[in-house]
Amino acid sequence: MISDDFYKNPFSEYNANVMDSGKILTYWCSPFTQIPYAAFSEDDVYRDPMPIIFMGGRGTGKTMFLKYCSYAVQREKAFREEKTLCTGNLLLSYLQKRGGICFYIRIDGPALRSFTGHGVPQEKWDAIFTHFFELQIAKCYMDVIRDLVQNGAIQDESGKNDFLREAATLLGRAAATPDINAIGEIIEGNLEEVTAFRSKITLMDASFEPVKVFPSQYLSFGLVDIARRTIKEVSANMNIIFMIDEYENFSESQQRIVNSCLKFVKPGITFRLGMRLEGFHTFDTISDNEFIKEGRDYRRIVFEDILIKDNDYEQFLIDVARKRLESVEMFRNKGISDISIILGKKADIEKEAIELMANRTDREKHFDLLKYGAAVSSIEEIKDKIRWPQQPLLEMLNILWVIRGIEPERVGESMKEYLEGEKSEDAKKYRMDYVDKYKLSLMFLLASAHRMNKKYYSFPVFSFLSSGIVGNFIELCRRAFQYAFFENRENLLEQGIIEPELQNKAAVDLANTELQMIPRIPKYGDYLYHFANNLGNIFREYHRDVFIRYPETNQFSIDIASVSDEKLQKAFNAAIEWSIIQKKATAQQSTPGSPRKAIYTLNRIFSPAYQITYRTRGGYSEEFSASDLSELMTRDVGKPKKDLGKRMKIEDKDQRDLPFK
Amino acid sequence: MEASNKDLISTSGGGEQISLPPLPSEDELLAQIMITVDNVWKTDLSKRDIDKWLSNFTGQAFDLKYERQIALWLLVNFVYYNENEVRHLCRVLYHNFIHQMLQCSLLFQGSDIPDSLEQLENMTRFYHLGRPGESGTFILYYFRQENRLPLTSFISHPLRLPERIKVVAFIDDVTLSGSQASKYLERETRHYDNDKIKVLLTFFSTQESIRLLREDSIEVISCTTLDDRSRCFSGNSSVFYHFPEHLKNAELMALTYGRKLYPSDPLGYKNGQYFFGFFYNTPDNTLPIFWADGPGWTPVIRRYQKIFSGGIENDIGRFL
Repeated sequence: MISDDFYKNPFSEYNANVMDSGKILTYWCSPFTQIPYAAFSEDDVYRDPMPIIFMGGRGTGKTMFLKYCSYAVQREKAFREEKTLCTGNLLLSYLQKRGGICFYIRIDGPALRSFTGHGVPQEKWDAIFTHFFELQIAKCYMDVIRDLVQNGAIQDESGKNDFLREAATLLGRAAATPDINAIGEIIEGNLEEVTAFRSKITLMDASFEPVKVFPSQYLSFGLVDIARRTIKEVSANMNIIFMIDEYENFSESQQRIVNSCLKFVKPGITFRLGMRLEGFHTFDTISDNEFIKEGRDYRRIVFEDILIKDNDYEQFLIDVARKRLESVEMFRNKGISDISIILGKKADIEKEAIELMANRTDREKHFDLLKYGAAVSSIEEIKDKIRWPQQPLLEMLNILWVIRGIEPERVGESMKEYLEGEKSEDAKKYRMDYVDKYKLSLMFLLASAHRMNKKYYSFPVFSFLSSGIVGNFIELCRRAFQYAFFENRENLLEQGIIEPELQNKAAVDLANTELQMIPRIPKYGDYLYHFANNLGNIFREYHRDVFIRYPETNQFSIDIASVSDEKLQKAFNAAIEWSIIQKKATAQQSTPGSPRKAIYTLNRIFSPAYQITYRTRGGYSEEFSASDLSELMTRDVGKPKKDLGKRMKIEDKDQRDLPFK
Repeated sequence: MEASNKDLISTSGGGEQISLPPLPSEDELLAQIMITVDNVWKTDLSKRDIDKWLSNFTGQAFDLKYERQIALWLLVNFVYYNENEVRHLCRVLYHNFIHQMLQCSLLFQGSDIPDSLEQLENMTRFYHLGRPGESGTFILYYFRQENRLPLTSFISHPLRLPERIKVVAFIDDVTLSGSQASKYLERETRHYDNDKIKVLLTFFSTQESIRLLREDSIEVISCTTLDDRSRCFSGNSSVFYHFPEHLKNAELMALTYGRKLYPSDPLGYKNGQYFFGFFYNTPDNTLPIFWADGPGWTPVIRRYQKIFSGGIENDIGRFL
C-alpha cells in the first residue's frame, strides 16, 4: 500500500476552517500578488485604519485569507522565516514590520442564532449578545497577550503587571496578584455564564445576572487602551485588527451592534470582516440616525470579482496547485508540479469531435440538421458537396452555412479554400466563423445531434468552470485526481497527466453534486434549485439551437429593484450569496442598443450538468421581468424567451462578435 | 417503478427474459466504489483490480452485463475494516468488556467503581484465541496498545493461571458459527476450576455462536452481534433492502461461481453469506466470490488461507 507520506490526493484538504497554522502557511498563495492592478495589497490588511469587508462566495478563500493574516499564522511564519527558534524580540519586530496584529474571531452560526426568542425581549438579547461579543474579543485579545508573554515578546514585567491589574478591574474583579491565567479564567467564567443562560432558557425560566455587564466597545477597545498605556512593547506603532469571519451569520440586530463598532473605530483599532456576497442584513448601527456607508466607513474587497476579472487568475490557480502538488512526496520527487500540464494546456475540441464520431454507426446523423434549411429530397446531394469526414466540426459549420441560406457548392468551396490557406473573402469569413466564433458552439451542437455529451477538460476549462472561486477549482482537481488514482494511476504517477475522460467525470460529478446541494440552502433552497435548474435548461436550449443564433448564451439581466415580492428579492440575493449566479462587475447592454442593466451569469460550475458553455462570452442576455423571476423560482420553465423556431429570422443573422472572458 | 425503467434480464441458458427494476449502472457503481475506497477503506484498490475481478464473471448465470452489475453491487456493499477501524473496534471491545464485567455484582460486592476497576484489572488475564500466528494473536497486540494495558495483564499460556486470576478473556476477531471457538476453548479450559470466568472477546459474534459457547460456560462479549441483515441473501439482507427483486438472482450467481471456487461452502464457511473483511484478512464465512484465489479466478479482496500441515516445509523449501 502506498503510504500517505508518499502519495495522497494533493487537493484533499481545502476547508481553511479545519486547517492548522502550518497547513495554511504551506498552502498559502496570495491572490493579490498576481493582480498588480487590484487596488489592494496585503499590507493594507495590517495598516489601513479603515475597516475592510472581504466579500465572496463559498470557497473563494476568505477564511484562508483572514486566517493567514491572523496572529497564530503570522507567528508561525515568523518562526519559519527566521529558520530558528524565534525569540520574543524577533517576533515583536516581525509584527511591527507588518504594522499590526490581527485577531481572528469566528462565532458559530448556531451560537449566533441562539440569542433570540424564549420570551426574552429582543433588547435584552441584544444586550446579552453585546456582552458576549465583547467577551469573545477580550478572550481572543488576552490569548494573544498571553502568547506574547510566553514567547518573551513582552518582557516588561512591571508594565505587564499594571496591565493585568487594570484589566482585572475592567472586568469587574479586583486582582490581588496579577496573573494572566486568572484574567483568562475570569473571561471564560463570564462566557460560561452566557452559555449556561442560553442553554437553560430553552427549557425553563432563567435569569441572566452577571457580576458586570459589558456594553459595546467596553472590553474590545478598553483592553487595547490599557495595554497601550501599560505595556511598552504593545504601545509601539502596531494596529490592533479584529477580524470577524462569517459575518453573514450575524442576525440583523447583531450586525447593528458590530456595525456600530465599525462606524466608531478608534485610532490604531480597526476591523476586518469576512462575509458572503449580499451578507449584510443591515447597514444600520445602534444609533437611530447613523448607518455605515461604503467608502466613508469601510472598504469593500470582493474576492470573486478580483479573481474573475483578471487574466492572472489562471496563474494564481497554477500557484495554488503547485503548493499542493509540492507538498506530496510522489509529485515533488518527480517534479510534477504544474497543474496546467497535468490537466492539459488547452482543450483540443477538434480531436474531441473526431473521437466522438469514432465507432458511431450513424456517423452522418448530424447531416439530419440540413432539413432545417433544405428540402429533404436534396439532402443526399448536399451532403456530397459539404462532407468532410476528417473533421466533423467543419461539416457542422458547413451545415450551419447551408441552413442559413448559402449555396452548398459555395460552402464546400469556402471550406476547401480555408483548408488550403487561401485568402479569399469567403475563406476569411469561413475561418472567422470557425475559429473565432462558432467552434465551441458547433461542438455542443454536434454532441447534441448524436445524443452524446461534450466533455469538460483541460486546465483553462477547469479555470473557467471554477468561476473565480478557488475552492471550486480545488474541488474539481480533487475529484479529477481521485478518478485518476482509481482508474489510471500509472498515467498520473508516472506521466503526470490525467486523461480528458477522467477530468470530464470530475466536472460532471461536481456539477451534479453542487446542484443537489442547492435544496439544502436554508430558507430558499427550493426556490434556488428551481431557479438554477430553469436557467440551466433555458441556456441549454440556446446551445441546441441549430442556427446558433445566440452562441454560448449563459447570462441574463433583471432589474431586481423592480421585484416587489420581498421573498423573491431575498431569494435572489441568496442566489448571489451562495454563488449560484454571479453578478458581472459592470452593468452591460443585454442586447446591442438596449439600456445598460446588471447582468448575471449562471455559475459555470453547473455547465457540465446542462451541457452549456464553460466560458462567458457576452453578447445576448436573456432578459427577465419580476413575473419571470417568480416563475423561474417556483416552477419548471426551461423555455427561452427568444423564439428559437426552426426558421431563421433576418434580425437574428447579425449577432455581434464579442471577446471571450 | 415504471415498466420502461425496468431491465430485461435473460438467463444464460434459455433466453427466458424477466423484467426487474434496474440496479445502478456500472459507471455509477464504480464511482461509488471509488469514493468508498478513497474515503473509507483507504486501500490501493484500483479500477484495474476491479476489472480483473469482474473478468471472472463470464455470463454463466445471467447476461454478462447483469452479472457485472450484481458483482459491483455486492462490492459496493462490502464492509472493509481498515487499521484505524480495527483499532477502534479494540477500544469498543474493551469498553464493552468493562461494562459487562462491572455489572457482575458477585465479583465486586460493595466496591465503588474505581475499586471495582482495579480489582477487575488484577483478576483478569487476556489471551488470544487460536494458535500463535492466527488472527487472535494479531488482534491481541492492537488490543493491548489501544487500551493501554500492562504486559502483566497478558498470559503466555492459558493453562498456567495463578490462583487469584478469576477472569480469563480470550480474544479473536470474529466468532460466527462458534464451532471453531468452542472446540479450542473446550480443549484449553477444561482443567479450569469452576470459579474461573471464561470470556470470549470478539469484534463480531452471532446469536448462534453466543448460544453455542454459553453451553460451555463461555460468555461472549462483542462489539456487534450480527443477525440476518448481515447475511447477504437472507430475506432481511441489508444489501437488497432497496432491490429485493435482485436478491434471488444475486444468490444464484454467487452460488454458480461459488460452487466452483469453494464447493463445500459456496456462500462461505457454514453458509455464512457475510460480506466483510479486515485489512489483515478476510474471514472464510464471507462470500468466496470476493476472496477465492486460484486458477481462473482473481480475488478482489485478499484472504490468507491457513496452512495446516506441510505448508511451512514447502514454503521454506522454496528458498533452499
